[in-house]
Amino acid sequence: MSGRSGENGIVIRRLPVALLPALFLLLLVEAGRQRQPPMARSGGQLVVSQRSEPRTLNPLLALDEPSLSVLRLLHGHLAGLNAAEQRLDPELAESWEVMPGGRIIRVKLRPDGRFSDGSPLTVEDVLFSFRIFQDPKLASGQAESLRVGGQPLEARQTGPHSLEFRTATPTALGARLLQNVPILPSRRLAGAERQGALADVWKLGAAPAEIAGAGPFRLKEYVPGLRLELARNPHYWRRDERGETLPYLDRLLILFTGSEDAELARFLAGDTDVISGIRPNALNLIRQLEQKGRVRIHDVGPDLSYNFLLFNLNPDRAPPDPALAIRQGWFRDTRFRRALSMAADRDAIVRVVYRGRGAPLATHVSPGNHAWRHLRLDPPARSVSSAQALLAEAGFRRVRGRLLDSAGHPVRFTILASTSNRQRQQMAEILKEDFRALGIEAAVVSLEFRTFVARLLEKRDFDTAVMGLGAGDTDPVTDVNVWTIAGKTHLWNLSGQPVAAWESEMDALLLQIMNELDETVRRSLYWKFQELEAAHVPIIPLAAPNLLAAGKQGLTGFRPAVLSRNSLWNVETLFWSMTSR
Amino acid sequence: MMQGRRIWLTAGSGVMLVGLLFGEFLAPYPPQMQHRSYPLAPPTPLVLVMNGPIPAIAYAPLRPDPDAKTGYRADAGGARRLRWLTAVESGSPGGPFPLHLRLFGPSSDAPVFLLGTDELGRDLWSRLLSSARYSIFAGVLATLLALGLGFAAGSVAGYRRGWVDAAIMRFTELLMTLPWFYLVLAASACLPPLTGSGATLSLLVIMLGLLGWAKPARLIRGAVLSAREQGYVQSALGFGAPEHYILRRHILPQVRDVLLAQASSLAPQFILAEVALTFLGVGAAPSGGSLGEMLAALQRLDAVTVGWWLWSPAFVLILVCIVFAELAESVLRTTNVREVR
Repeated sequence: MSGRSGENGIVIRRLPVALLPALFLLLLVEAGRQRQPPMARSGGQLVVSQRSEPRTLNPLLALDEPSLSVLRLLHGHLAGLNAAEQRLDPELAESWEVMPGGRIIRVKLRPDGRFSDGSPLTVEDVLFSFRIFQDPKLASGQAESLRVGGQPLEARQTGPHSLEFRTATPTALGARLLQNVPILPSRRLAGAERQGALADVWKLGAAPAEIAGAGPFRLKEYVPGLRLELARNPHYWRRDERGETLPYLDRLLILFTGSEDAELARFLAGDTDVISGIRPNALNLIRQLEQKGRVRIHDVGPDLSYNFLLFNLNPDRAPPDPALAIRQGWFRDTRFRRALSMAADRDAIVRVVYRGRGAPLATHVSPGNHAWRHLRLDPPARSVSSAQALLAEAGFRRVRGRLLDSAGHPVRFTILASTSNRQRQQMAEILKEDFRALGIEAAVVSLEFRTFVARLLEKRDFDTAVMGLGAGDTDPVTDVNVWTIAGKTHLWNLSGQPVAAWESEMDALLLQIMNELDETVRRSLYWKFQELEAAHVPIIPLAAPNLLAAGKQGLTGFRPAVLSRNSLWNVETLFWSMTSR
Repeated sequence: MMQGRRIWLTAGSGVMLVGLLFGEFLAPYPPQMQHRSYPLAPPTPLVLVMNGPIPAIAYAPLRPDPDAKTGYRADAGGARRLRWLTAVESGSPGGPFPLHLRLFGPSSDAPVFLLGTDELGRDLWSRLLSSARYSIFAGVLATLLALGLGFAAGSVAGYRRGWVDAAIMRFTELLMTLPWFYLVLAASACLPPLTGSGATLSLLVIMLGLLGWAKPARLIRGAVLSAREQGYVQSALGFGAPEHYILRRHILPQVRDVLLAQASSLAPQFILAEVALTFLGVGAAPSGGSLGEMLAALQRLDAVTVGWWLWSPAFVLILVCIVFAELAESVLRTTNVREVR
């Protein structure tokens, strides 16, 4: 935002003085227009794109992002994420209350909730949904996130429209437990449950009439390989301030584009109405459309993802590889990692890879996470001389431009990157040059994505790798999988055993944050966690990209936000203003 | 017509040779040097400035400007003179030559990019010289290896005949039925990541050579077989000439033409294979770049539409292939070997 006002400043300075009154008038008119929000108008369709097809329409089986994002439109939840405000809003639940002690959540259900087939949504449906999603036989993707203290969530009815959830141990999750389970029609699925056939319902080719949900849209048609057509759910519970039923849009068309480039080409051609997650290099093309007044670009600022360099800290394999063991000796030295972190030119990464549309990172917590980021930790300023001093302290020495360890081995290693992500390949190239300034010879090795993952997770025979991870939420609970020693995505050490005292300390802190109920205490603990991270550098955090999205001119209510990758979190309130279409 | 072709061929090979031999001298920057304020900069325009009676070559530098369509605008400071014969730091620390002599260099305050820069701000002209050399070197080395193996196997098979011949020929047939490109892809995915471009280069050359010797081997066998049946060879054998004499005096001259023709047709194939592999991003790319790795930038829509200068490696590749094809033509014409292709 500040960048834009700066540009305006230049424009004004260059304008002749005689034009100033005219400009003033124009500003007044603009301001007047701003005061009156455009009148919402029902009807019309929105065409969006998705790179891959959903694999299933059965919410119990959906694990992949394409399926989940479609299902979010078809089904209702007790609580929903307000991505712009980064908070939970009541949806099918009218209200909830977390009881003192942190083990019980009392929920009051909306009395007017209905499924898309017109049948009422009752407490029974909620109990049914939470039961089947926690059924160990079905192994839904949500089951794990509902377990607290190793025990499933218990739910019971307490009134005609109220119920109560109970966890085995106190938890800071609170209402977040309610946001991931779609509420499904129990009467429709009871038969399948009795026959044990819940996994076979609502496949991708299922007839639209078979599927009912409490989301803003219902399924109309699926054309394999091409598109998915959704129609407005006439029984959706939500209304606008004037009492008009939502969603405003009659139809939502999801085109499957296959690749990022195809998605961009379809948007440039005008086939789709919105695009999200634009890479900064492609922004120039969309800016040409913006200058013609056809689209509007939204730069939401840094998203929640983080790109980083990770070291292979896994304890020795059997049989041990002597060459890798030497390199791991360097990687295990905190001074070595810190020196490399100091040598990394994060500003150049933001400038070159993201064309300035990104933010350098001090820890894995992105500046996009307003609530939890440590405000007094800045990304280390690039300093080759301090990095060299640190390396000298750790026993490394420079001979004829090359860095040697204390035993005289030249310091050289590979940086793995996946060919599927060109931006991370570029980061690896930049790091390679930065490390060269220290006398380190690094080679970038690009691997096809599956080979890359297999090397990291299974074979573990790598030196370092550039990776990126996203977060679906701002809360530290999303870190558990990556940052606890037992986590399945604790990429730099998958052994389950700590490699250093600081790792155990960070682990303990995170678990404490998980069980703590007081938000202020949680925040101070999480700041301490980030301080430890900055001091010991288990990974070298690099940069987070800005979330860039664009929508056609006239689409009103389009509010991309970092918590919603496809920018459709408020799709029910989108409409086309009078002037367009 | 003939004359014109020969002139073009000579000129083309001349350009290629000069580029190969004096690449470092012609490049103003080390190929891996990143100008981090100049990603995707368009080519710097060259201008002639009159300074006294002799016009001098100068360039009009570009400056980053986020508001411009290409992201760059002309620098307000006007044209700068190119500096001739400058010494700059070499890219490899600890190498034998810390300084390199360059034909030309930029003036101290503004960089010059004859062909623009890539996404990391690396000078395409400098990178092109180094990567073309890498790609051609890899292709030619692989050709030599394939021909060496092909010659050994083919002449043994053709001269000895019998079961040795049968075994070798059946093996070459088997090798020719394998989809070699996928084999190379699979092999490079299985191998451990290597440091250093020397290791990657040898690996690539060995893989290409080991999979590409079958065809020359079959042709050489044919040539050896037919040479052996010639009347004068049979007479020489009848006079008791030793085996090595026959091989050297009568058979090798026949095979030489086959070898030459095969070399000129295999080399572009192997260069293209190397380009294809690095284009797909398999294995470690050399720090100086390779033509395929440079072309990989064109895999993205925005690069194709905005950065037209990124196409330059494609033209170099076309030039290289044409030169080799013409070379093969002229070898064929002078030797009258008909069956070699």
